[in-house]
Amino acid sequence: VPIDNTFVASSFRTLGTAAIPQNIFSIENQAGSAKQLHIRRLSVVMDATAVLTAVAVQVRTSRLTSLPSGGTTLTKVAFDTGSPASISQAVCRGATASDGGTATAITGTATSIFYESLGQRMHTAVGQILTDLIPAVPLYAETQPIILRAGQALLVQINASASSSNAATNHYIVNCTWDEVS
Amino acid sequence: VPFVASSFRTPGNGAVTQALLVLVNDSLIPVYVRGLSVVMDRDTTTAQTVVAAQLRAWRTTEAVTGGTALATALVDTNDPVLLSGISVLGANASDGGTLTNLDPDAPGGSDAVAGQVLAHRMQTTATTGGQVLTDVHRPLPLGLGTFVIRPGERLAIGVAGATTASNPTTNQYVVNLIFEADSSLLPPSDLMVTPMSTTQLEVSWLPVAIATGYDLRRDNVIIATDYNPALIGGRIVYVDGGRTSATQYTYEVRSVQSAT
Repeated sequence: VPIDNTFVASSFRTLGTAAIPQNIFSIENQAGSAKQLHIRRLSVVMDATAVLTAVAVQVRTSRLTSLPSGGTTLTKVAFDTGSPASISQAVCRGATASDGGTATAITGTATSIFYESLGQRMHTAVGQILTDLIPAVPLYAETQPIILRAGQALLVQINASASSSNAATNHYIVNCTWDEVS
Repeated sequence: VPFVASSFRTPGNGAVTQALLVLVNDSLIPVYVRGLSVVMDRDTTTAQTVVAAQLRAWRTTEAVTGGTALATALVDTNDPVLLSGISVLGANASDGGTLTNLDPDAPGGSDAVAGQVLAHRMQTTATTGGQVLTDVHRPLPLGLGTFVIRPGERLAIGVAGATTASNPTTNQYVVNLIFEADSSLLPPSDLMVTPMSTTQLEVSWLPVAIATGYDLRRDNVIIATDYNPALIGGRIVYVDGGRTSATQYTYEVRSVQSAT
């Protein structure tokens, strides 16, 4: 498969909205694109500074019924600036325009769940807090990528059994790595 | 040729932004980043109830100021040494030592974060007992492709995006970097000798990417050292005058590279 270049996008640190679901990241390959986006890694890292005695938030990834809108367009970083630049149809959206900043909502309607993980939480306000990468797509994608053809998109959401699980004291960062393939 | 570099143990600076390590490529060849990790400890019993430090990596073309040159070690000492123009700078010159205001300390202009993670923290004040775990944080998504730092580019690793209280002076960071640079110096190619007159010969060859000059010999006697003129038609050209008509000459050219 002729990979033209590999790219990464990283969201700003995004606060929970105390509402569910909260769309925190999307990547889309807009109509008219002549390339495929091969998603190799999509992960969330989170910290929570308040006690949560309910179930942890769910990090949920879905395909979309139609392309997303709104949000903050994130800058794409090429692995190699000497290789072809990213196509304009490849768009990543985040849910804030600055670290810990005001929400800029991503609009999109998820289809069936593609992949899901549980985030971290602090049952009592005691001890050391370790943050770990939460996969938002199967690790299998590193060798067998998830393909976004023209007109397709992935959406990462925060979901939970209760909106209180997604408190404003939750902090999320999303990192996405993909290949662009002719 | 792979190289490794490790920062000294670097305290947090108590500010939102802080550069921990910068890889500078002012050479003529690309540098391939193979490994990047940050390990940290919080050397305090005081709680940090705000969000953890954001560890991030970004590519930039900004000028670098401050910092301390770090040693770059060869994985194999038989390999060529690191080319001039490639260097690694750290934020201090000794473990836990005074910070030297390494800059850029945050992405600027059109720079963007190429990857970031949240470090760990301690929610409550530690009074007695307990194990403190340090984790390896990997802010760049390496292993999915080759992250390249082209000539004129820098790779910066630092702390940014959270709060001043997220990066107290009791935080201690160590950064390890593994990168590859092709230090092998290739010979010139397509050597051509063309008569210009009965006493002049034009000797030309194709340039070599990382050469800083060329040594030219005629009949095993050196006639030009570290010769590096402007290209003419994409070639290095040397005009050898004072020759004798109907005489055979032999030319040899070698690439030269000044190494650190």
